[in-house]
Amino acid sequence: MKNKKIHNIKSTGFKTPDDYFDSVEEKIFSKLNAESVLDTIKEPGFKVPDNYFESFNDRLLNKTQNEEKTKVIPLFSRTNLIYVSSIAAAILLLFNLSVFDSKPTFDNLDIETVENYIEDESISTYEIAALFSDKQIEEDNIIDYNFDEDNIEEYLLINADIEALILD
Amino acid sequence: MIEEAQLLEQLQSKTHKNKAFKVLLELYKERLYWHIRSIVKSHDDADDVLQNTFIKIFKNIDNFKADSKLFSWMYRIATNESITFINKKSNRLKISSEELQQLAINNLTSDVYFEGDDIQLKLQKAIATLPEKQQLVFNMKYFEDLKYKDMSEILETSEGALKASYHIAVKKIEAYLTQN
Repeated sequence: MKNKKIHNIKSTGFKTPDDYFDSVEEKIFSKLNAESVLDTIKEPGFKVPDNYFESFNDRLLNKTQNEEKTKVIPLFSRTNLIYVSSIAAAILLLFNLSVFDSKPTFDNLDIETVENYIEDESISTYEIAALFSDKQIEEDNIIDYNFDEDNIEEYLLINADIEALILD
Repeated sequence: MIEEAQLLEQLQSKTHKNKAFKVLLELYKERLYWHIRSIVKSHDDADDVLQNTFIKIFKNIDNFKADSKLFSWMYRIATNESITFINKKSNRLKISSEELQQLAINNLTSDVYFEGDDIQLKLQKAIATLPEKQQLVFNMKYFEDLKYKDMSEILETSEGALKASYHIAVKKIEAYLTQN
C-alpha cells in the first residue's frame, strides 16, 4: 500500500521564486566580474626614480667600504666589560668574604656571653617565645624527657655555683 | 646563472667577497626592493631599508649556515628589516603601526613614485586593512609570485597555514573591493 503511494509522488514539493533561473545567471556573472576586479590588477602601482637600481650598487658599496675602513672601538666592548666587571667583583668579594669578621657560631658561644646578652638587651619572654613556632614545642617534648639523677647532678656540678643558688 | 653554492663560497671567502657581493646585488636588489616596497609603501623608506638589508647581508654572510636557501635567508632579513623599520617609525611618531600604514596609504595619492590608477589605489587600501601576516602573504603571492614552499622558508610558517592565510586575504580584499 505504502509503496504504491510513493510511486504516485512525482515532485519533491520544493519550488523556486519566479524568474529565479533567469536571475541566478546574472548573479553568477556579477560575482565572476567582481573576482575579475582583483584579477585585472597585475601591478601594485609603485615605481622608482630613474636610474635608481643602476646607481644603487655604487651607493651601497661606498657604505660597506666605509664601514670596513673606519673600525670603531666600542666603549662597552666585551673585553672591556670583562675587565671592569672582574675588578668590581673582586672589590665586592673583599667586603663580603668573612676574612675580616669571624661570625660567632653556636658552638663557640659561651654561656656567659649569652646570659649577658639576654640581660643587657633586656629581651622579654614574649620575644623569645616568638622565636619558637607552634610546632617546635610540644607537651611531649617536656613530659617524656627523662632527667635521671646522674645527669642532673653532673649538670649542677659543672654549671651552677652555690652563690647563685643562694641568691635565687 | 651562477650557482648559489658557488656564489656563497665566494661570498664567505676573503678574496672574492666584494666581487661576489656585486653579483649578489645584481641578482637580488630589484626583487628585494619590491618586496620591501610592498611593506613600507614609500620609495624613500624602501631605499633606506634596502640599504640596511644589504649591509646586514654583507656583515652576516660569514655566519650564514646553508640550512636554508640563501635567497630565503635574504628575504627573511628584508622582511624583518621592513617590519622593524615600520615599528621604529611608528614609535617615533607616537602612533600605532596600523595608523602609520593608513598614513602611508593616504600619502600615496600625492606620491610621485606611485602611478597606480583608482583601482590600484583601492587595492592598496584593501591590503592595508589586513593583519600584518596576511598582508605579507598576499603581497608575496599575488605581486611577487613566490612559491608557497619558498614563502614557508622565509616566513617560517607551514605551507598549509600560508595557503589558508592567502585564501582569507583574497576573500577579504574581494569583499572590500566590491563594497567600496
